[in-house]
Amino acid sequence: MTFLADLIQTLINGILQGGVYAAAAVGLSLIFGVSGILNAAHGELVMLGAFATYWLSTLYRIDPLLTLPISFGLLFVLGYALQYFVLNRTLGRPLLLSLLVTFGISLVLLNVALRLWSADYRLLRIPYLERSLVVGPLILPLARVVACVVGIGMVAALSWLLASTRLGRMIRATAQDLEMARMVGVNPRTVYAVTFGLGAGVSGVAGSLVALYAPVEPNMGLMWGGLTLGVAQALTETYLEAGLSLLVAFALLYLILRFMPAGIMGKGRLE
Amino acid sequence: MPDAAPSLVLDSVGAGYGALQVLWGVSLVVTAGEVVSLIGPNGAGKTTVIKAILGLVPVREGAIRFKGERIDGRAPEEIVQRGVAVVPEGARVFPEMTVVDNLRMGALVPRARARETASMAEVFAMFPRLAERKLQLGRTLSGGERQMLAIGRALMARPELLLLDEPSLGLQPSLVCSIIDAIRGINERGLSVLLIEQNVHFSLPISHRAYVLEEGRVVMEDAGAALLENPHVRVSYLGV
Repeated sequence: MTFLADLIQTLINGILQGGVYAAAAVGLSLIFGVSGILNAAHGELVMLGAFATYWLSTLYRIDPLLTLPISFGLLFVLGYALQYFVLNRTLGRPLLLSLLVTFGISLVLLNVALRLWSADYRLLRIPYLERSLVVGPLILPLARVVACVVGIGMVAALSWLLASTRLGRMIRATAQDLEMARMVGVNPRTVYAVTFGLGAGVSGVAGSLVALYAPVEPNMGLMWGGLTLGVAQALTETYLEAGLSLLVAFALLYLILRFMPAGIMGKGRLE
Repeated sequence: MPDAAPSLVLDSVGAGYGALQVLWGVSLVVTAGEVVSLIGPNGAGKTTVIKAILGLVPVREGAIRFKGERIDGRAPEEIVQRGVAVVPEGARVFPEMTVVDNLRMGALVPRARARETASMAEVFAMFPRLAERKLQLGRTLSGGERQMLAIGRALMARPELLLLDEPSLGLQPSLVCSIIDAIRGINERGLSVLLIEQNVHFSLPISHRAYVLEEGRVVMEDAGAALLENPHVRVSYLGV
């Protein structure tokens, strides 16, 4: 009985984690689907969102849940600026170039975070989220439940925005036929910047949600790199060509090996 | 009847892609209220004329003016905001968008936003087929419906000049007639029209004037009806 209960409990924790993954993945795939940019800095955006929530609630005593919109706003501005000033210069160039640029961005963000905040693990104490919901034999940690619900809510909100607003139509039109979108008056550079901003914002909130129940540290973004790899492969198969998916995967692996020879968890080598 | 003010002026325009020059010293005028046809064999550069007007192909020599202002060198999204709308080759409706969303995209330019609802009602009155398919995705429409949707989307922008690139390509004759009728109706409301059309026996009768483009150069210009009687045009484009 305990074995079964443990198994079910583990599965439930995994499912609750899924809501957060969904928010993070949707941020990554939105950017790729619209701009064709494989964002290798995705994990670092998640990490920055987590730190935004950690510091805002630690230093300024803002309720962690209230930091979520702030985290979104900060990451939106960062994402918008990155696309507008940096990544827009890679438009119309091969996929590998934007991959290389975002990889560079990820290294910068990671090392700035390490320099500013060290590699220490920091855990938020949120007393009112430390309770659990008990349903029969099952225990649902409240922080994880909230994170999951908010994560799914973010995905739903983004879907609504894309489906039902003028901005969403502009983004979809740009993704479907860039030249035609320009011929009805869409400025693609702005749309790409807003898209990256939205993707970064959603990813940042995913990080904030992780901070509700797990420790925050600069290298936490690297774990999300695995997500990048998996999603990148799936996206390449869907949107580009199945044959390219291995190339993209290996290109990512090459970049990781080239720039992180100590391995993904090679802490201490990045000072 | 056309009034005197020129809407669109191409003045000795040279344009092309990379090392390939497609247009050589092309000059043409669309006067406000006119339907002007551009005819010529495949590969003559007709589509490139439209792309040059829209800023999608760089203009290397000469100038393009719309309502007296230079528009060459501007971005497409800027040019369409001044009152130019296009029905591009192949219609290019947004495939994963509904008919209604495609039309809304047409009304994106600031000059058209406030009148979106009224414009859409007008488009549905003009093409009742579209009204029956409001929530269908663009990719599920037939060729004729796509052309209607592309024309409707262009009209949503409340343009002063409409550019049409082969709006009847691949359509059955009865649909060609209804598309041509629609263009005539659009022009009668005061829009200027620059029309590329293979079916010259349909398009020239509704054209005030027409230009013949061959190998990137304008080789002939005349009233639409007169060109229809021209021996060269009859042999080359009507197969008579």
